[in-house]
Amino acid sequence: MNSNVEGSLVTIPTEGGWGVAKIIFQSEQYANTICLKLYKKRFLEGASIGANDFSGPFDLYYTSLDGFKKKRWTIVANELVSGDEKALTRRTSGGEVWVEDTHLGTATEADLAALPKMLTHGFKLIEKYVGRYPVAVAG
Amino acid sequence: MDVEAVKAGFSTAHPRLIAEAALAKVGGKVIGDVAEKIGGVVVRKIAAESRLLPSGVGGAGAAYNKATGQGLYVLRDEAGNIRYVGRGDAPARIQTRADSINKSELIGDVLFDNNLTKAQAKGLEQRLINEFGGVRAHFRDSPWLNTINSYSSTNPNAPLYRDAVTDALRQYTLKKVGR
Repeated sequence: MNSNVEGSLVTIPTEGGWGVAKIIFQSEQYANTICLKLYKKRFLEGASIGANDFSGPFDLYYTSLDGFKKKRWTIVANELVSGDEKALTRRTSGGEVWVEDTHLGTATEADLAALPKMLTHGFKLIEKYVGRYPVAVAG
Repeated sequence: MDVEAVKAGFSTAHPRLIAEAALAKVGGKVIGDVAEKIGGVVVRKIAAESRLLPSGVGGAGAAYNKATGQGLYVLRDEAGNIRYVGRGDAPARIQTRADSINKSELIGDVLFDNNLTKAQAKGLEQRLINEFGGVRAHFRDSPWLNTINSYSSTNPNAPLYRDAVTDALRQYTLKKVGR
């Protein structure tokens, strides 16, 4: 596996199908941690998933590289991470504000209320979440 | 130790050492000291930094310092229940722990980003274990995945670890975990 996976478009297996996601951030500060833009849809086994299917509403999840290390998740393409996507990584962790790997300072009460908290989900949970999304038709 | 000083209940240890020991209990540290002679008497001024409520980010990875910059994290199940508490280089360890056996379906939450003293981290780790049900070694039905305590009550440093967790720090931590 290539250790640099930022910008990768990936397919994630779930029972009877696949989910699709884009890795919009790979952290060096938080070792082994990536931010997934997980599209809220899943495709049934045998569907022909194309580049256009990596679009639409999404959830953001922080998770590890273990989905790749255990050879469950597959990189199918790569594209640039946009500035808007990078801005999605503005978050709090341990009461501190971060965007990507840049520490912006200690979070205020307003930051804690407004910004998402960085919670890191085990890769099996991500696969479980994919299984809860509605089925979509590829293409 | 000076015999007369001991009788009088005073220590003759260097003032900086006394201050360091006292501050370490509450997570503070000495950041400087200077001796001045005023009217024939040596007066030592000690500058201290209080860390009652830690903030900021400590070093991670190669820059991690386990004596002065430990992190604290919890792993929760999907329902939000805390199942595991760990300390150390939190940004480095949280995913390792989350993906190890029995923990790959848990959600990691960093409570302190490597800004605790070792005593605070060990003290808080044990406080959280106690607050949320105890370790499996002592309570078979405990929901915790921690199998052993953070430190033994017979550990010579146990009082230091306990005292490092002030009421303010305990409340601050409980707020972070949502209690």
